[in-house]
Amino acid sequence: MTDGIVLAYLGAALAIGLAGSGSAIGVGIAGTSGAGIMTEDPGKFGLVLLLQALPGTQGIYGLLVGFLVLTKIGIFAGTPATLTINQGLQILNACLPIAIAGFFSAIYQGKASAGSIGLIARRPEETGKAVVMPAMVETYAVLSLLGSILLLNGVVL
Amino acid sequence: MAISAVSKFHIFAHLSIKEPILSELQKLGCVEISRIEEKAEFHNWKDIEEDTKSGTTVKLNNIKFCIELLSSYGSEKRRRLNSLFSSKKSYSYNELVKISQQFDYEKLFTQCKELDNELSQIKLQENKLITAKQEIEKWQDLELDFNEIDKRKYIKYILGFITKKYFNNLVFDIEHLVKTTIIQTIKEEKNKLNIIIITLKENQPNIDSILQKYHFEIYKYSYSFTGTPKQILKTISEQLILIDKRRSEIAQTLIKLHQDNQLIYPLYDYLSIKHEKEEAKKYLKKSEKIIAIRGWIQNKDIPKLKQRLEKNYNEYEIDFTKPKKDEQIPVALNNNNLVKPFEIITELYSLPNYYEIDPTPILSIFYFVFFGLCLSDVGYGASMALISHIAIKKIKLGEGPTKFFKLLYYCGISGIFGGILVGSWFGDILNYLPPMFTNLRNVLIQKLALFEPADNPLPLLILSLTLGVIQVYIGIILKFIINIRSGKLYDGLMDQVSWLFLLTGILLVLLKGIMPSIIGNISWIIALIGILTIVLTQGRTKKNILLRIGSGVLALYDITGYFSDVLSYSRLFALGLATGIIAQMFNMLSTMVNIPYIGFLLTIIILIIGHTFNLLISGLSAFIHDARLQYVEFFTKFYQAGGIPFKPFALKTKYVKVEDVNK
Repeated sequence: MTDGIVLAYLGAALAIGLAGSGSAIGVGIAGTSGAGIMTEDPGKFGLVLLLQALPGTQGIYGLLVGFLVLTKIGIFAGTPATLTINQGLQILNACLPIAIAGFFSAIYQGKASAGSIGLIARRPEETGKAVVMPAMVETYAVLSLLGSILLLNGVVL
Repeated sequence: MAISAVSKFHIFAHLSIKEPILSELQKLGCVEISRIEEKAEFHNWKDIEEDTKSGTTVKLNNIKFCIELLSSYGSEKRRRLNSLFSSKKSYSYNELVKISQQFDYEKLFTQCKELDNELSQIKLQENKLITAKQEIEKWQDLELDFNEIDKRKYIKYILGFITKKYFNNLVFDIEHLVKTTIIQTIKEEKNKLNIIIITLKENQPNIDSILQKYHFEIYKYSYSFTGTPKQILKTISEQLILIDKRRSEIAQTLIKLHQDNQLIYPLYDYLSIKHEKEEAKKYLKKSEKIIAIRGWIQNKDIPKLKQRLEKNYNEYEIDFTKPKKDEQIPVALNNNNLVKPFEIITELYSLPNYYEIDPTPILSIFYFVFFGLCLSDVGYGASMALISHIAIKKIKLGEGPTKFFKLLYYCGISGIFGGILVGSWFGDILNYLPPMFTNLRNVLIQKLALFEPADNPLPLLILSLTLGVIQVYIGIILKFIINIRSGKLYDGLMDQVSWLFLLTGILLVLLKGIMPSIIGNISWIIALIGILTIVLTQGRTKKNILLRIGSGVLALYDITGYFSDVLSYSRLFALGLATGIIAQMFNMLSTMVNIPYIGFLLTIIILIIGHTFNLLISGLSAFIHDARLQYVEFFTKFYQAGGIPFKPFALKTKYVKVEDVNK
């Protein structure tokens, strides 16, 4: 195994691990406040679940980038490519946007979701707005996903 | 555009036909009744008070209580799930009236109340028993009747808890200082011991001081049960079993009651209809012989209303007036069937105000296209369209849910187009087909698909941004039109057309490479015209000439806003790609199980679960991000919103459908 491929693995691991951790924290934050709301009105379970699920997408984006990296270096095809250190670093760099922005945006989206859950507890008729607000945070996760994909696409093996 | 024109109406009718006319309006369901407030015109008119105390509200609350109790205990989970997917029962209005006269709800209510009381009493008792049980379990191994403890003449029993670390010292002290004393450990807990000390009464003062020294906690038995702890525990469990038995008896009774009293649902709806009518009466005024009703009606419904009243009544007068500018005019959207479902998206944000353009028709086109790009999978789109189609056709849903499923249906169709465009069919599932389908695959993926986002992302990304440019342009142009309509042509020229010039100029400069050279030369001129107008006009509210130019220059900073607006549309590309890749991931995962015999089954299970998950997650993302683009990037350019919804006075029901009211 070449040194370059180790770096590519590190990139995939960071993308999946960091973005996933962020999502776990975010979903946790939203879940805590959701559980509080449901003690008063268990009927809101569906809505609360939806809002709780919103910060979960970063983890998926991270996994997606990791998957793209693994496909790119030919792990699934069974014949891993030989990567130079330079190529490995390029792939590692490509993973950083979603790893970093995924981690932080998921946490803050979790907080926004928690706020929105509080909103639907008091004003159920404003559900639409409550769902859109956390999505504003997710924009940056989507943009970093885009960045990672484009960077990864630019790596020549 | 598609905001319904409304008129204000006044009906003056003889007092004798007050009830029938109100019922008629309610059945018609196309007018909104509003409060008559003017003092001048309705000088000597009074409020209607007579039957505000008819007790409908109380009855309604009582029945709601019954329904909640009965449906939480009375119906099993399965049936509740069924009711979600089954159609509502239909009743005619007259049937409802009949039910309300015949159904004796008082009896049911008393029964429910009694059962509910008993349930809460039982719960209370159960809690008490459980606490007692936990307490007495600590003394389980004590072979002594609690009540005997204080009845001995010479012997003193002391029960209590002591921290483990003091126990040895306590034993030591007592053995040395006090005679004829037995100490026994009954139960060991985490860091505490439950002990009993048996001694002579005369020793008590000595022992007490020792106990105090070691923070001994004396246990006082405070229950009325008699016998040894074991016997007491047995009694308690017997009582708990009795309680459980009684509770399931009550549940059975409730199930039976629920089955026997299905009519409570139509009754509830009838009463809420009645309640709504009584609430409407608060808005009316009456003189000695006449009542006045005021309200709003969509112009298209006026003939219907006139005809209905003419057919049935004589002693009334009705007139219609155009709304005045300063009134709070209710807004109803009125679009054709294709656009109608997309009203949901507009309503989620806020209705337009009465004098505005309804953004829904334009929004619907963009929403449709964007959703397709975000979902971009033939399989998912088709699943969504199919499910919504079945939901609409097979289940008699209310108006709201039908509208929503229609929206999903269109979104699904759009997803199919998006999928064809990028060649995604449940991800790359076509690649796993047996070799004989190679031709089919080649046609579907290579001929039909125009983009290959995973290998060559730029074309699709550019398409996304281009769509963004188009929508932002349309937003600005709409604002320009609004300005013209309200007679502010110059504002429109200075605020919108200037920006259109600047943005077009910049776009042309960016596209210089692919444009004829002549355009490349004039593009700077166009941009310059834009910049000059913006710098010269944006500060026009300021008096000071320097400040005016200054704020004009500052206004140029808004260019970053437009820039980020357009970049925001890159999410269309990213989300679309994400859907396809996640689907690919599951396809690959499913082929990785190489277990003989059951491997195939596992593959199928992984595919079903994986794709369902992806459909839900990607569908949700597409829905939300598409809406966000409309709200944040499009609406901010021109949309004022803030309309109050038109709320027709109608037969509103929760559990049953009322039919045939308009025949």
